[in-house]
Amino acid sequence: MKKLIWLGAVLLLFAASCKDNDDNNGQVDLTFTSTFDTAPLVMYDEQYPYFDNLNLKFQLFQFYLTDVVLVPDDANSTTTVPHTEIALISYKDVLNQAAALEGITISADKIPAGKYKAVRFGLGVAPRFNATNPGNYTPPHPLDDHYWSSMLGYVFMKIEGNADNDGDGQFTDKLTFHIGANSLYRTMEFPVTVEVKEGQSSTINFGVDLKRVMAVSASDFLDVRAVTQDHTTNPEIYNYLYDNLEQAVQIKQ
Amino acid sequence: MMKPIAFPDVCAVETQHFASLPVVALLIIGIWGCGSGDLGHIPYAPMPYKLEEPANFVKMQIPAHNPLTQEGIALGERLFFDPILSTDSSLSCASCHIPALAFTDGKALSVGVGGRTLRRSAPSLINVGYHYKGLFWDGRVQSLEMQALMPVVDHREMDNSWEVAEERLRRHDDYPILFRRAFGIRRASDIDRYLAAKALAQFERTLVNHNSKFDRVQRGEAKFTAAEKRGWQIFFDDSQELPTSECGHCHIDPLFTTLGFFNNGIEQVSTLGDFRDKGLGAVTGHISDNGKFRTPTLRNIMLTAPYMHDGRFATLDEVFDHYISGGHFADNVNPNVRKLRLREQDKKDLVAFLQTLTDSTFVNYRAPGSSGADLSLH
Repeated sequence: MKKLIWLGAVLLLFAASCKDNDDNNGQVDLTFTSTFDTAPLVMYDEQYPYFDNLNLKFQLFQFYLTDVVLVPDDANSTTTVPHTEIALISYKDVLNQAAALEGITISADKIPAGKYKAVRFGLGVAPRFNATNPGNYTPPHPLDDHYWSSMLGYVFMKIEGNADNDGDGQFTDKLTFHIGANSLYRTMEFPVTVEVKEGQSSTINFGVDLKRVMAVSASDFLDVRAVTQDHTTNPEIYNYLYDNLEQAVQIKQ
Repeated sequence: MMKPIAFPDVCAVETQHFASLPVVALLIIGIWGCGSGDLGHIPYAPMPYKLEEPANFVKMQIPAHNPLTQEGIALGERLFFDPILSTDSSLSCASCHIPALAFTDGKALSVGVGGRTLRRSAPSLINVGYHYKGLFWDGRVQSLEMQALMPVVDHREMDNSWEVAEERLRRHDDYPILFRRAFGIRRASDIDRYLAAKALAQFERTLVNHNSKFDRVQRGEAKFTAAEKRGWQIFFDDSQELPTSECGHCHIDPLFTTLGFFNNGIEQVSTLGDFRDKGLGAVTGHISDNGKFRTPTLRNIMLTAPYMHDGRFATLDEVFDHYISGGHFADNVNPNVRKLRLREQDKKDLVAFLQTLTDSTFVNYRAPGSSGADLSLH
């Protein structure tokens, strides 16, 4: 019996020492909350005022991020710390205000403790992933869906919803924008001060304003009375929306 | 949501009976058991089965507790075609999922024992092993193992109890042996619903369909006719010069379904609470999910009429007319369902393309390694 107790103690010490060696890490959560202008973005139920007295409702808003990395706050370091290789930020299941305020979070729990000065990610599906297809993945995986075979690539961003163009209270006008192409992929970097502590979690918050995706200003917006869909077919439309998406993603300090 | 059932580990079935028994006692029981239901003398050496998955399909999720084996698949096939599971032994799984009809039954609403009409149409089982977003029209279960448990006890389907079905299987001349070979059971009394469900799931996972003309064209082994190609372009909105049909958003290749759940505007309702059949909404409790149903595959669609979850459209023409109209309005109708400008020629070309999704080899489907035994047991 004594031998067993000793053996247990030795194993416990061994396990504790392993923990010390392996777990000098913390968790970093990146949370993306979406709004339409300043209102939390909720699918289906909520209606949002647009321009020219138009109102909109949404059923889907989503976009991909690739190669999410943290940039160490170290003048001597040129390496970055990988956080998430590929993620789909989808608001499809955001069906109430609470879920909208909670946002969509991607987490990584093996981030080395230390100070970081920036977050960097690719907006869209990086070309190396865009050359693959769902056949390369076992669900659930961000890339198990949203592949457009005739375009040989993924749909980087989807906006689906309805407009009430005639003011009758019925949102009968359909809106579908499915945007994706290698040429649209771009890298974004956000300065941030975050210190990752061993065994603790830190959160970096982002806001994504869907109205900003659809409009630059009151005089420069996507007129949903004239344009109700784009499947990456009209460069004027898809470049407009995707350039706007880049501007719509903001870090919240 | 339904509480998930923990399916027993396959290997554990054999080992659990050995673990606490002395070897001598085991031998005695084994010798005695040869004539009294002990199955230990029958070899248990299941052959792993490597599923040939098309390169462009998502990888199939096969649970670790139910790996595919030739013996498991063969047992599942036997059970699938055997009416033994229904209360009056009149209906098998294959009664509503007929291979010649792409595993549908040709009826608007399926008919269970005693002529009871079900509330929905029998969905095709083609590529059902890939249905990772939920099974049945409303997505109420997440695995084939769970799904297989339900029709047996549904009053409108097989109207049986698993206790009765299990007892029949245990007393059957063949099934104890087949369960032994597939799962290593020690005695007939070890047969239970979970092993039956596992076998059925294994068989269903082999229903992989990827040899239609469309697939051959994709592999460079065949070419579309002009009409088929034009239909393909319309289907996938692939040409600025051609009208769009918006089909490809929900019926994306290679499965020809996103497996997602949508309201496609077939039901006229005043509010989202008014759907007679709430579909996904009855499962999730979200009113915005009312009237949503799983997008069915279009593979072998020429064999699966009538169409929609309630079989309301008898022909593809009726389906086209629905989508051309833009469907009925409701707050959760998928925005991809919108008025279309398709002419008669466009419809003909779409049909030509859809015909390329037929795989005639699948209508006589037999499980891989199937012994060739008569499947129509009764």
